[in-house]
Parts: sequence; C-alpha cells; structure tokens
Amino acid sequence: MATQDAQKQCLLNAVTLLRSAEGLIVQLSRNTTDADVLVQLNTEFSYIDSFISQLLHAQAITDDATFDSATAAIAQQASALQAEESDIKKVVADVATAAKISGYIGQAVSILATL
Amino acid sequence: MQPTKLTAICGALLLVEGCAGLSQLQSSMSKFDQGAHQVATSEAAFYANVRTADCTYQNYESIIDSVKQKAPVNLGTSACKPTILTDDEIATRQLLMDAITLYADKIQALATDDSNKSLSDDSQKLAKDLNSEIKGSGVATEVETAVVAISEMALDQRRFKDIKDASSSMEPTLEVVVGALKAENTSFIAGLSSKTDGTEIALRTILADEAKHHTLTSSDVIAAQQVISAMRALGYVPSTPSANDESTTGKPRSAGTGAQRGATIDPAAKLNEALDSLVAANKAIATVGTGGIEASVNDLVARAEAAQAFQAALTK
Repeated sequence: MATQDAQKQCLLNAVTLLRSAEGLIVQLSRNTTDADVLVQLNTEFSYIDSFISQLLHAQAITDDATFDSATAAIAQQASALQAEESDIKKVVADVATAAKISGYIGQAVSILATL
Repeated sequence: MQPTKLTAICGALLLVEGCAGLSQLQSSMSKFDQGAHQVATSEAAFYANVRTADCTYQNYESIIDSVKQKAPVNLGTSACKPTILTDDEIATRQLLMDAITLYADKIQALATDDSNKSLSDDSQKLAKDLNSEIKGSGVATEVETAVVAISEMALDQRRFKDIKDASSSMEPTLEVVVGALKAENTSFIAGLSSKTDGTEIALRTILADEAKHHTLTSSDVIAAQQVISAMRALGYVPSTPSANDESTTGKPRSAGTGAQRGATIDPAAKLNEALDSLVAANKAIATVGTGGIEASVNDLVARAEAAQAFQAALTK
C-alpha cells in the first residue's frame, strides 16, 4: 500500500475512535438534565467534532503536497487532542465512562502521532 | 436437395439466434450506461447532502452560541464555511463521475452496429474538457492517469473495436476511479453523523437551560426533535454500539422517544454497493457471455436505482 494510502487509513482509524468517544458523550448528554453539565459536554463534543472534520478534510485531499502539509499539521495538533483527554476526566463524573472516552481519544492520539 | 434445404434452415436459425444475441448485448450495454449515469447522479446528490448537513450544523451552532452568550442572534444569511468538502473538492469529484459516465457511453457506442462508433459531439467535448481539467486539479497521480486514460479512450477511433477488449483493457483504470470515490463515501458519513450528534447535544443544552429558567415548552422540545430527525435523514450512522449501551453508564435509559439513538441511514453503503456492481458489470463484459453480462448489468441497474431512490427520499 502506498504511503499516502496508509496515512489515509490512519486518519480513518482515528476518526472511528473519536466517533466512539463522541458516542459516549452523546449518551451522557441523554442521561442528564443538568444545564451546566450539558454546557461542558457540548464544549468537549464540539472540540472533538472539529478535529474529526479536520481529519476528514485531510483524508479528502488528493494533491500530494497539500496532503503532506495537512498531515504534518495534524500530527502537531495531536498534543492538543491529548489535553482534551485530560479535560474529559474533569468534566465527566462517571469514572468508568470518563476512562472509556479518554481511552478512545488516547488511541486516536497514538495513531495520529505516526503520521 | 433435402440436405441443402436443411442447411439453409439451420443457417437461418443460427442467424436469427445470432441477431437476438447481438440485440441482447446492445440492450445490456444500454443498461450498463444507464446504471453508470444513475450512480454518478446519486454520488453528486450525496455530496450535496454532506454540504447541507455541514452548513446546517454550523447554522445551529452559531444560533446556540448567540443564545448562550446572550448576544443578538444572527438572522442573516451568513456564508457557510465548509469543513468537510469545499466547492473545489466537489468539482474535482464531479470530474471523476464524468469519467465514469464517459466510459460507459463509449462502451455502449462500441456495442452498436454502426461503423462509426464515435460519441456524440457533446460527449466528445466533455472528454476533451475532462482531459485538460483533470490535469492540475490536485487529484492523486494514479487517479489523474486513470481519468486521462478514460478521456482518451472516449475519443479513440482506432484502438478499441471490441467491447470485450475495451472493458478488459480499461478494467484497472475503472477500478482506480471507483476506488477513490468509495473510500471517501464511508468517511463522509462519519462527518455527517458527528454534525448531527453535535446538534443534538447543543439542543439538549438549550432545552436544559430553558427548563432551569422555567421557560421550557413542549413546542421547544418538538421543534428540537424535528431538527434532529431532519438532520439524521440526510444520512446517519450512530457511533459504535457499545457507545449506546446503557450498561456502559450503569444508569437507566433516559426518557425520550424510541428513536432517540437514531436508526442507521447509510447512503454511503448503498453508493458503494452500486459502485462495486459497476466494476463487476465491466468485468462481466470483459470475460463472460451474453447471459452473464445481462445478469451482471441487471444487478448494476438495481443497485444504482436503489442508491438513487435512497438519495431522492433523503432530500425530500
């Protein structure tokens, strides 16, 4: 498989993991009516969605040079995603769920670091 | 005399059977062309839906931000900034779909009885334009090479005389173009679904805030439900099943509609099935007899029609 193909598969794998994290956040939002908690969940979700859009946009790039720039930028921003992993634990009260969400994000970070 | 008459009768029967076979083949190539065009149309509609969902989410996010920040709500027509597919990227993908339909048009032309197997003037112009526009469009090198090869095949007058030879020679080329489209269809659905889930959380936030201030009404809840239903209808694949498992949270499922978690609506899967059947039909043209080609092309048309009907239902 060509290098770009392998990198694009990495992006898709990271998207899948981040979607799993999102799914848990959505489930949490359905189980609370606390406005303050929902504001925090909304903020965390928005950040992950924004990152997913960035990954999908990179995956859609076909020009080699532009793709290389996009993946380099993503690899650099993986550290910010890692910070998100910590923030989730402060926002989500349920320890087990917070660990699952952080786990998905952490796996995505590991994959993106290989770009 | 008897053997000569018998021979003549047998010859006539063979001729009739041969003509019937040729007509069936031409009918199959017509269906092949029809299926290819339907797949291309469905693909274009899917991209339009991706854009709609992206912009819809942005719109609700901006409204929600205004309400949360107690700032004036923007009722103007703000320009959407696409986050998944830009206009240029959609235009590039249109070139790939033009390549697919041109290819099918040429195959159909090769199957005719005419000595002149050229495409129409409009199709020839499309092929020439495609040849120049794909260069420098930013597509991957192998995709550009494949599209150029298809445009040259569409304009060719000498090399391809036989549909089996043409479809066999062009099989790898067609697979490159189809493969590029298929990979993205799956990823775009993930983006759509993320926008929809995000809107759901944002709306829940608003409703909770209204409830906190004792201003929540049933109309607000109904309106929010309608927004989510409309967005999911564009295409929605929930995240992994474990994410929606109540055992994950240990808490009872919250009150809400039965459709709370959202059924899977996956136009990408239908499109990819149709694209796969296009490749399979081309392979059949290259390798098997008339009967096998007919079966394969019928499958293409069925899947292309299913994909087209699916998109039409989503955009209602």
